[in-house]
Amino acid sequence: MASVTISDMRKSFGKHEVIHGVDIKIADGSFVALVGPSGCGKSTLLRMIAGLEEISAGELRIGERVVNELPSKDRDIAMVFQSYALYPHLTVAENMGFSLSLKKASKAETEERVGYAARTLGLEALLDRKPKQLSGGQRQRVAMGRAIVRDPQVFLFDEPLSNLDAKLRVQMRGEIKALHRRLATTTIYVTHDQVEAMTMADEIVVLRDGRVEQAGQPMDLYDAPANIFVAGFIGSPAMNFFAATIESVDTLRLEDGTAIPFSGGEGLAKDQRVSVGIRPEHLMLAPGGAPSKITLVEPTGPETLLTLEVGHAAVTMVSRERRRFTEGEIITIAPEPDRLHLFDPETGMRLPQRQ
Amino acid sequence: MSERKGLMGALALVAPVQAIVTLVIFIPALYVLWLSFQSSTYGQAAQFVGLANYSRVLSDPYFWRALINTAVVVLVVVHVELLLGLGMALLFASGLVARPLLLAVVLAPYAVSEVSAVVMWRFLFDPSIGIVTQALLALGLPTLEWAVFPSHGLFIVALLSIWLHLPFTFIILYAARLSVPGELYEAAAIDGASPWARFRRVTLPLLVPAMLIAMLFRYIFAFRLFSEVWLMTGGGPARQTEVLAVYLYNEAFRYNQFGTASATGWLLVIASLGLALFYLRKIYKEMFANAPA
Repeated sequence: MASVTISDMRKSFGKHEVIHGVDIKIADGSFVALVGPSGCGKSTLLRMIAGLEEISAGELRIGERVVNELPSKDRDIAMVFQSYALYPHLTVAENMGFSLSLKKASKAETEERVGYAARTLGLEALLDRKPKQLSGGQRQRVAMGRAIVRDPQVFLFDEPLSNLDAKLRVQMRGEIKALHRRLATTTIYVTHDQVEAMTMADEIVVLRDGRVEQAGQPMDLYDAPANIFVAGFIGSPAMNFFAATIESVDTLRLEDGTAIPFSGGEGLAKDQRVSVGIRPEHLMLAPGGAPSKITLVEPTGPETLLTLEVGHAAVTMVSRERRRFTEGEIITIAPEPDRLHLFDPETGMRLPQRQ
Repeated sequence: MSERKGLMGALALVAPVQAIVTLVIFIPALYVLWLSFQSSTYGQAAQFVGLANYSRVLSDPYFWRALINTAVVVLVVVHVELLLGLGMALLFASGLVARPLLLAVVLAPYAVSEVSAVVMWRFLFDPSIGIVTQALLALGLPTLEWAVFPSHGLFIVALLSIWLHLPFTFIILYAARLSVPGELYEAAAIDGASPWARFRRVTLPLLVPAMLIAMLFRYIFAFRLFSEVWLMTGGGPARQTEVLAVYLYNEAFRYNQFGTASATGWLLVIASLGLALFYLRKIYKEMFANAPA
């Protein structure tokens, strides 16, 4: 196992720079998720770590070694691809043992290590099958088995669950997390799905346009997003944003005149313009709150997703109340005063708030 | 009932093709089989002679000459084509500048009719005025005396045949190579495979089915090699460059021995079937091994 240190890493395709100086420190044995919308550079970053893309500038260390110039095979990493990239002409056992056969490992060693990986992943019964004869979930496991057999310093996952159906995805999510607990191998996991990142990772790195927007523990990103982008990206359904002005130390006024009580505004100047973010789950029904018209009701069972019209703005709200909502109905809502997020409308950066 | 109706409908749809195949291939083939047991020439009723035609053909040194020539040319042509086609497919897949243009250049010979190709080559390799001959002379290299030496004649026939048919082998292998996902090579690189190991352990096994198909087709095509030889050397000098199809043509239309020509035809069928059987079996096994359980 090893830590991974990325310092001012850059990637250019011709004159076009796509990764603009990324710094990430990944602790030994931790599980880090790289998330961001498509095109943010997360896969490129992972491929640079894997040695599949050249590093244009900056430094990449695995453990103490600088590996910038090392070919993939010498970086002591294993990668699980989105398409699994299993060798179609080889059996499950041969796929998992491919790296060992290249090293001309003994038959006994190969059997032992492939056997261990197969037992770990419950693949014993499938060892003689070809990839074609496997289901999506089984192929996914074989791809992980191939990585485990190599016993690498670092596991790299490139959107490994994207090709699975929703139910299997949740199941494999748990399995990968449990596997990481057991093996405690440093893991870098690329996904566009922030729920995957939140549920699995010790630490999340949010990327946009080739830059790190924020890195931190999942709940820290949720509780205190560093900017509007992270605030909107982390959390599902996404955060609501309004333009507002600070009226007093404990009151905000929205553009349509609605006054909203909040706490933690000691450091803010009166009349300062802010963007206020409210998570859908932090809105509640409140007599005397802002009157809102329900335009869409989406019950999921434990909770109900409401789309509301407040003034001219569309607002999403999640209610856990067991009450019948009807479209067209007018309800009054208010946010939890200590769960508001304030951002500078110019820079998009989080404004200092007392928690 | 509806299944039966569906079957009848399907049969009706394939019937025209089947009818044509029956008329132009199956019935003539059977007629030729019947003819191969007869003594037959112009102006004379066919007369049953048993296996005499076969024994005559098999004891004819010219037949054996033609068979050996055919075998040598076919083996050389098919295998050289396979190697060149594979090499070119890998070269193209590895990324070339101006690939669409080069692709057109490489495929061009396939668009040339065999007859035009032979005429072109006769000019190019003309022993006295041909451009290639002149170039070889200028370089101080020996020239091809294809009208004089049988080995030179067969060499130029093989060369011409490779040039004409390489695009076929190439395009099959190139398509197969393009269908191998790039991530397999990335996975192999991470697994520690050298470029050679990637070729031998990933590319080659995945191209085997395409290689078998290409070789099967080329064996069958190459076995009926005719126009290249007929137009280039005419089988000469002294019948030394004849191949089986030329031998058959001579028997039938020069010596008017339809019986022995028919026997030769069937020997040709049996020989190429024997060859094809090996490849068909391999292809069948390959597909069978890959079939989902």
